[in-house]
Amino acid sequence: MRLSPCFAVWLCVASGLSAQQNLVVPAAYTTNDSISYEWIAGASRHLRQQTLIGPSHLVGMYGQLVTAIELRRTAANETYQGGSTQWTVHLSHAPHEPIASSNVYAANVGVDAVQVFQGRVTLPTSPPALGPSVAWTAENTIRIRFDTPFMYRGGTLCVDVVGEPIPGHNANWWMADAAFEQVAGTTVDLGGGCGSYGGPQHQWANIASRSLLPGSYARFFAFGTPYTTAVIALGQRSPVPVPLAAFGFPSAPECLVHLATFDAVAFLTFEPENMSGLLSRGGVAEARIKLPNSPYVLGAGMTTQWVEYPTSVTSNAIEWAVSTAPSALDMALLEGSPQAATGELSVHLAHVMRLEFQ
Amino acid sequence: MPLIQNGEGIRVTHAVPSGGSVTVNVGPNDSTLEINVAGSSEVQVVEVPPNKDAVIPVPPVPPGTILFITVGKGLRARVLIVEVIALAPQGP
Repeated sequence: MRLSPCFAVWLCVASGLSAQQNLVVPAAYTTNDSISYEWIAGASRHLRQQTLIGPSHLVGMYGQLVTAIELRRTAANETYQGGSTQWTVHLSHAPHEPIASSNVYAANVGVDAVQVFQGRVTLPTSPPALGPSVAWTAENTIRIRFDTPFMYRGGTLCVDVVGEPIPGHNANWWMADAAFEQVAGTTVDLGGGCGSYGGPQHQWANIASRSLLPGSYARFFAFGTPYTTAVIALGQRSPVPVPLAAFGFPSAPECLVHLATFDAVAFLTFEPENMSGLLSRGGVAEARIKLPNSPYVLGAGMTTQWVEYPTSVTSNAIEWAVSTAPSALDMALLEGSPQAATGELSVHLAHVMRLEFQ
Repeated sequence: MPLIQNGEGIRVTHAVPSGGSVTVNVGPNDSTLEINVAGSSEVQVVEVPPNKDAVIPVPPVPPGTILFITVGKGLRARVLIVEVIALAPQGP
């Protein structure tokens, strides 16, 4: 069959127009604002943001070319002053589902990673948007049309963005809409602390309860004498606390150990931040434990306590438990410095994103 | 009241009332923020709520005291420095 040139042109244009489609992830926020927000890579600081999107959000995009992504401002009664930033964007098929994400950027990138965009990105000056509906208009949206479209072949999509600020063009407060799953673990402070840090209650150990989720990295952190050794111990709670001195350490009687077992022990260092004003709070030691995405960890818990060495002082002990339900977001966000190999992973929080495909 | 943000991804009002409370807006995905009175070894840790607007109690410290508000650690650390002011007298 031979087509006339006019008919062929019409057919191409018509099919091109009809094939352009959009998909918002998560779909629940296609038109309405979500409860949370997130900052934008490079709007004011060097930042890498890696978003993993599970296949449950991408039904209908299989076998299609992804041609653009968009971020929408969050609802707020304020004008966001615009600016611009320099982005480099890679897309790939991640080797695992979002809830199995690593806090190492490289581990989440698929072998088929393609640089789909590099260039200047405009953050528009955006007038107040009160919600609950926020339209995907040009003034509410950051749009990145890819130089190289990416074929989605199923599985978890990894959208890897490195943003660099452009001097004189910062948008210091331009917050994008973000989805947030309201799940968290629990913590109970058992006391037992002593030493110079943590105020009158000597509460110098902490746990981020929002990090106690299957698939997340549980975050334990403590403040102590800079450059001394921070020993973290995990075990079962003792019904009766025992003075640290009973273990042979030269410590004050108020330094109490609340652990009946020592199931895991790690040796870290209290590292001070590079700001003189923060020296009084001590150095920070931080331990991360990857919680498996397994039903067995739901509601499971332990007790954690720190010892500063060689000063032989104990932290407050904390009994903790993993959330009783996993995050159902099926997305993950890993963000941090582009100079670092690792970042902060959240499996309960991620940008609302609109994908354009054809 | 004007906000300080300095492009740090977190922001708060320039001055915070002693013994009152203040809201810190948190752009990054960190789940806690830390408040520390300058010169003190006590650190108050506050969970970031889902709407990312963390309401923090301001310690009853003398006006002029400096507070450090910190999110993250190391290369990810974001810090704001704010001054505590006298709490405005309350009406009857």
